[in-house]
Amino acid sequence: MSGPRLLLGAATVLTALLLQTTVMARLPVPGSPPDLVLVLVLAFALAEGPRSGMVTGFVAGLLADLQSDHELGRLALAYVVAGYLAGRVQDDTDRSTLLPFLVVLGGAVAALLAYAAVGLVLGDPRTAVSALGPGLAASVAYDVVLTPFVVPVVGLLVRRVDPDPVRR
Amino acid sequence: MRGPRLRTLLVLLVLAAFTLTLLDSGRGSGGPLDALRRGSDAVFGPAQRAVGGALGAAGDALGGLGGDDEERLQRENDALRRRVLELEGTQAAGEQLRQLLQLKDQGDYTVVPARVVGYGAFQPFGSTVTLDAGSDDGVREDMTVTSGSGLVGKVVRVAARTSTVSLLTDPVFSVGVRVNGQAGSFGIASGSGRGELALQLVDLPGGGQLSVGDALVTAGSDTFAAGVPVGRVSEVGAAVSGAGRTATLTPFVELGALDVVGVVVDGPRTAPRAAVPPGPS
Repeated sequence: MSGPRLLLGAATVLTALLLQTTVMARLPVPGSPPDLVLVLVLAFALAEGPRSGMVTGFVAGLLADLQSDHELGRLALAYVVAGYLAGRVQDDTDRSTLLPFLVVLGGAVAALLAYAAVGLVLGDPRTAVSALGPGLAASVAYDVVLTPFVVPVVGLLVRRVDPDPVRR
Repeated sequence: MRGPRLRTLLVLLVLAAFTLTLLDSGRGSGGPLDALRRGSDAVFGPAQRAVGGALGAAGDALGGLGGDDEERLQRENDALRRRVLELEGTQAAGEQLRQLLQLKDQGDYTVVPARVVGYGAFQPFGSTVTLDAGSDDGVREDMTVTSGSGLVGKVVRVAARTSTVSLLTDPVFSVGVRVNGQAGSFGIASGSGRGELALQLVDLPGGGQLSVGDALVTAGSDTFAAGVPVGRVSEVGAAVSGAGRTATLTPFVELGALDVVGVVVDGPRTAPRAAVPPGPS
């Protein structure tokens, strides 16, 4: 991975983390707020494939875990799974306008399921009580709304850094 | 990179993340992972404050563009509107602070005032808030957090200048309570994650009945201040023989509108004289 590409990853992930804690989490919307960091991970997976999705997901997830009070590694695991799946989908489908929205929808659901699954294994009372309530459905919907603002921008930035990206 | 190697990477990363989770789930407080968290709080906290300030400044700069009279008046008008909003905010915060002081006087609590500066950003299933007071201000883990109208939650993590509070409706939260004015009663109220608490009342002396509208206050423990209003019974469940009564509580505090809260850094061990919960508003 080239230096500029590494810099792009670090800059976008840190920006997304900051915006998530300062802006997204305080948006006066009903239900859980959107997860900008997850949408960013999915955008990288769409632009560069599953490997990029997984690595970005792992690093961004760990940083997000540090900003929370659940066990470390839970969001990292959820984002890795979502990043992998999103990267794989793009592999065998032609680009269509609708695809990014569907990928973000599926990725957000997959991440929540992975997060909840680990919660069940650990016996986390938070997962047992409110697993997949309407608040979480709202969060998934907000993630899809973020798609047109995040996915094209990440795609553009990735192509600027490496005009002919090899999908890995 | 081809399919098999991709799956290897997937398995490796998932295992790494899960190992971290297992290591972290056994921890008390302290330990290297906790130090890592505090380090990240120390780095991100100031950055968050800076971004918040920058967003405000950007708004001001946009409002300051333009040159002729109309624009100048428009600008003044905007500035005045902002000022009014600001003052209204200050007034509301002052009112909350006044209520908090009143509570402190009633109960002999030593309270550190703090403001809610953030809502948990990465809590798909939980509810926590961040306060702008930390260990430098005398805040420690497990301390009781109140507002003028009642119990808010308890401190679960402390950094130097910020702390994380688990709200009373959070499913990991539970507290010993008694019916206000009934000394022998005892029960456990736990967060149900839907803006309410589930109450399990173990003991109600004299064959008394629990009814809708009854107020519950904290019973007090080594770590919890006594006599803090928790909530009102909104629904009485069916009596389960042997297990006492169950009910649903609606908290006194409006969790969506938290601003100034107080961290009880030292409180009386017994119920304060005037633990009168506020009337329904």
